[in-house]
Amino acid sequence: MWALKQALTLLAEGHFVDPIAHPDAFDALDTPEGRQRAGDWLEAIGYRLAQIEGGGSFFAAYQTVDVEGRKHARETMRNLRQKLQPVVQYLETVRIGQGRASTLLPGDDIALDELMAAVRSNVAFEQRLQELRDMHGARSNESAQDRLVRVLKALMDDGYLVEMSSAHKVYRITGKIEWFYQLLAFMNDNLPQLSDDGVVDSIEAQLPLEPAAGEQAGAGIQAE
Amino acid sequence: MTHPISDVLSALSRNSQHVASVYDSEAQAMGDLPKAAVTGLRGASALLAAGEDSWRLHPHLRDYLQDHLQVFPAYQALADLGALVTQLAALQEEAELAANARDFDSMREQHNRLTGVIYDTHHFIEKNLRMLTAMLSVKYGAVGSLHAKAAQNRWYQKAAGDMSSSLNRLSKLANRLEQEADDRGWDIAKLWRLQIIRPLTEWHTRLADIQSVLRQEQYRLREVSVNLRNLSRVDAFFSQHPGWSGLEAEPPEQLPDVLLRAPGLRLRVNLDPQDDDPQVRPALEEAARHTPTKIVVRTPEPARRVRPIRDEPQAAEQPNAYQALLRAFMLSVMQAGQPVSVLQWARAPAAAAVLRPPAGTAVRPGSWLMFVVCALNGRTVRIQGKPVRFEVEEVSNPPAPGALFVQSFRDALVRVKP
Repeated sequence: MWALKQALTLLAEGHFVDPIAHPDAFDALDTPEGRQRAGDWLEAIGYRLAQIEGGGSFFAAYQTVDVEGRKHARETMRNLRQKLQPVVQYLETVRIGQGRASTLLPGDDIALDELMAAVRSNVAFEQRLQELRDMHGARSNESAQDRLVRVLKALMDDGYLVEMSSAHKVYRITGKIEWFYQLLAFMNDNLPQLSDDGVVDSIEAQLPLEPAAGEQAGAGIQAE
Repeated sequence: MTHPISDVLSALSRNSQHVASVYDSEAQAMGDLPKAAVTGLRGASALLAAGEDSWRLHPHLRDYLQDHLQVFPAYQALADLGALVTQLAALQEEAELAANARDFDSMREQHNRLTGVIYDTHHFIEKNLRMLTAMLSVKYGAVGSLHAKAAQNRWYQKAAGDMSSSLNRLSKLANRLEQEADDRGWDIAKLWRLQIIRPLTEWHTRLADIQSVLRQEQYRLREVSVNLRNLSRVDAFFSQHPGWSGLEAEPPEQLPDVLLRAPGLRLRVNLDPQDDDPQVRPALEEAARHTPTKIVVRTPEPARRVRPIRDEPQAAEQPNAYQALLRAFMLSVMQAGQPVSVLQWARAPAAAAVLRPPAGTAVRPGSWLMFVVCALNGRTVRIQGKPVRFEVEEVSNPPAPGALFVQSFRDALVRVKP
C-alpha cells in the first residue's frame, strides 16, 4: 500500500516511475490492481496512466487529446530545444567519454573513474567538456574533471541518473531515458534536416587520374 | 599388467609441449614436429593427418581440452552436427547391407560404430546447447564495441540456425532408422529412442528459446544504435542551428504519448494559518483534524528491580523497671476497687512479690511517685483489651508555718474512675 501511495505521488508530481529509480513503486504499479487503482485516481484529475513501449517506465499523460492536450503538445514541440538541449549535450558527452562500448540504456552503470580516465586519454573528450555551454554555476577556468562531475550531477537532478555508490561515484541510467529517446525519434521524424528521407546512397563516377592512351595533358588546348 | 590407456596417457605426457602447440595452432605443419613426437602421438591416436602436410589433434582430445580450459572466446564454433547425421545414416545403411548379405561380423562391427556415433551425437547436441546457453549468459563473450557485438550476435544466430536445421534432419532420419532397426529386431533401435528421439523435443525447445533471446538481443542492439545515432544527430543539429527553438508545425492528429506527458501538479499545502477568513477557518480545522497524530514512541524503561527491605530482627527491648512496676500497680488498683497509695503499694510485701525489676535496675521512691502521677493522672490506658481511666489524688505535705499554700506532696492515691 505504501509503495502504491509513493507511485501515485510520483505520477502526480510529473515523475517517471521506473524499475531502476523507484523499484518498489514500479512493482506496485506493474500489477493489474495497481494499474486499475492508479488509472482511477489519475482519471479523477483528467490524466491517465501511460507506459513506455516494451514494459518501460510509467508516467501520467493527458487523458483525452482535447484542446488542452493539443496545446500542451504544441508547446512541447515549440520548446524542444529548451527541453532537450542540456540533456542532449550532456548525454552525448558521456557517450563520447564511454567510446565504442557506450549503449546508454536503462540500467547501464556510469563510473566517474572510467570517464576521468577517458578525460586523460581522449583529447576530443576533454575539449568537448571545456566547450560545454550553459552549465549552471560553471566557471570558465574550472577543470574538465570538475565539469564532468557537474554533467553527471545535472543528469541526476533531471532524473536520468541515480547514484548507486556515493563512495565510488557510480551512477545508473534510469528508465526516463527511454522517454527522451522517443522524443528524439519524434524530432528526427519531423525535422527535414535530420531525416534520412531523400538521402540516396550512390557512387559518383570519378574521372581517371591517368590520361587515357592517345590523350595528352594539354589536349584541350588548340595548338596554334 | 598395465591398462591399455596407460600407454596413451604416457605418450601424451611425454609430448605435452607438442600437444599444446598443435592445440594452439589448429593445424601444425608436418615439418614442425619431431619425428619421435609424431610417432608417439600417432600411436596414441592423438594426432590425425589434416590434408597432406599438416597434423591436427584428435577432435575429442581438442574438445576435452577446451572443456577443461573453459575457454569462451568471442566467436565459438559449435560442433558440426551435419557430418554426424550423415555418418549415422551411412553406418546404418552399411549395417543393413551387411545384414542382407548375412555378413554378421561386419554388421556387428557397424553396430558398434553406430552406437558410438549415436552417443557422440547426443553428447555434441547437449554440448552445443550448453555452450550457446553459457554464451548467452556472458553476453557471448566480451567484445569492444557495439559493432562487434552485433557481428557476434549474427554469428551465433547463424550457428543456432545451422544447428536447428541439423536437428530437423536428425529428427527425420532418427525416426526412419529407428523404425528400420526395430523391424529387424536390432537392439540399436532402443538406443535410437533413448539417446536421440526422446530428447529431441527438449532440444528443439531449448534451441528455440536461445534463438528467441538472440533475436531480441539483435533487435535491442538495432534500437540502441538508432538511439545513439539520433542523439548525435540532434546534438550536431543544435550546435549548427543556434537560432532553432522548436517545431512550428501543427501536432499530428494521432498524438504520441511522448508529447502528452502531463506536467506535475505541484502538490503543496495551500492554507495560510494566519488567515481568519470564515471560509478558510473550517478548512484549516478540517485539515488539522486529518493531520495524523504524532506517534510518541516511548522507549520502554528497564524493569525496576525491587529488592525487599527486611528489618533486621531486633532483640526484645528490656522492660524498664518503672514500666513493669506501673503495669503491676495498675492491675492492683483495678483489683482493689478503692484508692491505693502509690508508696504504700510499693513498700508492701505483696507488691514486692509482684515487682521483679530486671537485674541491675532499681526503683527510687520519689521518682516512682512522680512517674505514677505523670503516667496515670487523667489518662486512659488500655489494659487486657479494655480502656481504663485512672484518677490520681495527691496527698499534700502540711503547709510550712506561716504559709498559705502547699507546694509539695508526699504520696498519691490512685483509683479507677467509674
